Amino acid sequence: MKVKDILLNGIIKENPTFRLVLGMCPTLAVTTAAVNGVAMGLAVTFVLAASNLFISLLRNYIPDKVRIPAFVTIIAAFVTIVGMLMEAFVPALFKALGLFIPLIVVNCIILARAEAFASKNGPFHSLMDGIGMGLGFTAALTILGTIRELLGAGSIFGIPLMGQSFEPAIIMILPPGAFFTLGLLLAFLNKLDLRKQQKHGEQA
Amino acid sequence: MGETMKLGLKLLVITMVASFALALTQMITEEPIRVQAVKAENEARAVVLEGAEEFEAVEVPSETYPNILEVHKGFKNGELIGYTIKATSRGYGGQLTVIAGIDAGGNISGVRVAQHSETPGLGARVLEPSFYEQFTGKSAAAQLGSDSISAISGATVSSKAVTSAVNAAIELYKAELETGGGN
Repeated sequence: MKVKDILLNGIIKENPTFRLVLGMCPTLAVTTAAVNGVAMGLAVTFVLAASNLFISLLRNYIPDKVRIPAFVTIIAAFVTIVGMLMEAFVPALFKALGLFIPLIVVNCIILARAEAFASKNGPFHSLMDGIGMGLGFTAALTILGTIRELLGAGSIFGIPLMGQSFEPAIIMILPPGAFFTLGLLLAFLNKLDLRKQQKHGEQA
Repeated sequence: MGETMKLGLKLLVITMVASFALALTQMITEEPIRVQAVKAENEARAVVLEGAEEFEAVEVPSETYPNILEVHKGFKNGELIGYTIKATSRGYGGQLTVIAGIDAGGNISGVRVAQHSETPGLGARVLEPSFYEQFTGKSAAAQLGSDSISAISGATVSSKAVTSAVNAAIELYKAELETGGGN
């Protein structure tokens, strides 16, 4: 397995948000602005890479029958420790990401990757899978956040773009806007996928 | 039976290691986190009372002032330069907390919303300078009337909640701090 393939798999082919449709709770909740999407995405990337590495190193010790409680314990302890260390020693970073740390514990991408990848592959490849999946998640959340912020607040990354006459559609940064945006994006990507498949069909 | 015991024991080892790591981290981080929290609170107070370097808590009877959470004297080079008052009121989405600074001259030196659960894009705009800057420089000699602060359009309830918390702070200032409170 090539490292590049593992990374691209997470970013595009099995994008956790658009393809696996995992981790919807933070996806819908925090993407009210582009910067939140980036912050949540990077926090998840970090935890995902580290938890994949841990699980992979312990994969031969953890008995198959009790792997889920073992994974949950390891991930929850790890996330809590990271949160406490951040709060104590890098308060500026904690201020920006602190809100997202407890949300990561309940993010099912972490458990899904531990189960689907890290428990079956070596530490290095697992680390790469975590980074790839994390970056894919970051990209998806940033796209969602950008669209919602642009329509709901008239800005991107806090920079006003739409001019004075633009009346922001506040619903876009409220919970319904999250569902609208995600639904339309998924429909659009599925349409692209279908068209690609049809083309392949005609050629074959 | 033997296998169940083995599984249980392995799980026990994992949870014990995890608990131990957590306890250790807690021990290491407890003090720095406390220091950071105090620092962050002092920074928040210094925002509404410019120049203040040290703060000292003032006790106020909570039965008389149910909406006042905290009162602090602000010092610069050992000299009292004003007060910061943390007050709460009911907003649109729940309780909101406001921190207000009143300088030695009896004017409002700054107001910020510390905590809120107002609607994003509407009530949450009380966090914008164009709203909270309206309070700066207003006299704390009397309550702020409804016409002295212009509400955010579409978020009258949230705007009024901030004003009412500031008014609670003014009430306390006038009754407890203005005369002789400096010593």
